[in-house]
Amino acid sequence: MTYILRTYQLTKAYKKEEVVSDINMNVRRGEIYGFLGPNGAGKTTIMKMITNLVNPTGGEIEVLGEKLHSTSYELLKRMGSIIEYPIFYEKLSAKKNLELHCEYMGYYNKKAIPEALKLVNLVNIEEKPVKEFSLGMKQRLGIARAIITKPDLLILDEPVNGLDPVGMHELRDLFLKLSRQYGITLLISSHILGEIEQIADTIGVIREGKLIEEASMDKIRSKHTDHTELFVTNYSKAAFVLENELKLVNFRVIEKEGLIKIYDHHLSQNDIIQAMVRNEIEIGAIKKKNQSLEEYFLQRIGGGNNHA
Amino acid sequence: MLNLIKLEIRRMNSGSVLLNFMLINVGIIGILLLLGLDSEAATEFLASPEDVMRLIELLVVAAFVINASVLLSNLIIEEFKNKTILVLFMYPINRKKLLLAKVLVISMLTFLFVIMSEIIVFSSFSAINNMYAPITVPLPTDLLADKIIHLIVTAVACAGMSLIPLFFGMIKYSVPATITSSILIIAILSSSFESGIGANLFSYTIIPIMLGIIGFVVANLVISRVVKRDF
Repeated sequence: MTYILRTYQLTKAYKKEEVVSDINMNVRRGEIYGFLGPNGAGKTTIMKMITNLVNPTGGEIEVLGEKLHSTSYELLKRMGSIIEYPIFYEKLSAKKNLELHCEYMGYYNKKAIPEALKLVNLVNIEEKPVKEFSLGMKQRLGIARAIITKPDLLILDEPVNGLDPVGMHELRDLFLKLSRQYGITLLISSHILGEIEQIADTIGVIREGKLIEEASMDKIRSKHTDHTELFVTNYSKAAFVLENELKLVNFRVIEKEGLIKIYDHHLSQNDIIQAMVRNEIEIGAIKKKNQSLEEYFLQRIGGGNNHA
Repeated sequence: MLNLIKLEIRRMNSGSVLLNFMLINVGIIGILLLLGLDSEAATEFLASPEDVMRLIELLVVAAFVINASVLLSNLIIEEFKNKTILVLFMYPINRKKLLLAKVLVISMLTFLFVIMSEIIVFSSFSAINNMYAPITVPLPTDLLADKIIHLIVTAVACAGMSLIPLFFGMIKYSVPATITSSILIIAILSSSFESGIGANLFSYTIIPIMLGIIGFVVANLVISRVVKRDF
């Protein structure tokens, strides 16, 4: 498996206070890497270190197999990025902004500008000054600017911030397209899981400057399947019924709460209720429980300082 | 480097820069014409063509050092204030070169403006003077050619001096600080401490030259500090 971006013990301290500490990130070529963490966790700082805006105080960054220095200009040419929010020369037109970008990047394909604008669905705005753009349009223009030079690695810091639901959806489709059709690797940060859950292949969770988890979405999903919760007074009898009458094997009894968690999916709630009634077991409650990823991540990022 | 300079020029509004240049020249000629209101009084302190020349130089230098602070604000201070400099710093280009290009554009423009403006103002005023004689001193145009070395030295000094406001402006990325400091520099330089036009700090050639050197040093200092900083 080839990695396009790796960091080794990457650290940034401001006045001895570490805002990013010992980050070991591994981004594979061609994947969408979701970078998840609450505001102020250090996502932007890490992205700024990757794009040469901030100098790390410790550790290393490796891009495309080469170590990144403050003078690694060839590597910078192969990245596209939006950091924090899209910044433009507001008085200049969209087209002029993109033209200047190409000049500075040393990229001289004239067709690239209209292509990129079309890809992000911005049409007939070339001559408009950027100051007249809405935030959503600026985000799109920012993405257009980032992809214009066909980079290998696209770094997007909270790219769907300030977009309406339709815009978010469009951009998600665009990210998938960039990844699947154009083979661009995307590193997308967000503080809202829902934004990246559906598109990310791998998720890195960062909290207080530390990478606390890095795993593929498939793995995370399989760990957090749905289950049915059954509250009964006589749990031992209920367990017996589940096992012998309904032939269920995948369930767990939590005696203290009088709770049975059923992980088998082939029976409906109705089947379970009928079986309980037949055996005269009193049901306190039955409900479908969905420990969503949202909960899982909230637990990991927010939930606390008590087990940190 | 040349390419970077070209890009800087492309990005700034060259139309309004040229317009400013024209208007400043018209303004200076206008001020000179006011001398004609009382040509006797004017002759009292403008006794020779050299005096007139010095007055023109004073006005031109003042105008274009302040004009340079406006350019500094547009090309450098506002880039930092609006964070557009972040976009530039993410490019595969040395930060030092990026900033040097900006400083060079401003210095070169100031140099050219000072020389061109002195020539334009002096020749137009001399032509007007020949026709309508607002002041009684004759102004031969070949005086300009005699003083050409002095003119170039002054222009180089201005090109450096005009960068001093960068130091004050970059402290808090403040446009007012940039422009105010340039006005202060001019005020100190050109205020007369004796009667007559000849005696101010600017008339000792060594002082503008020193200030010019300080200006280049300041620019160098600011650039090397920014190159190392995190954004």
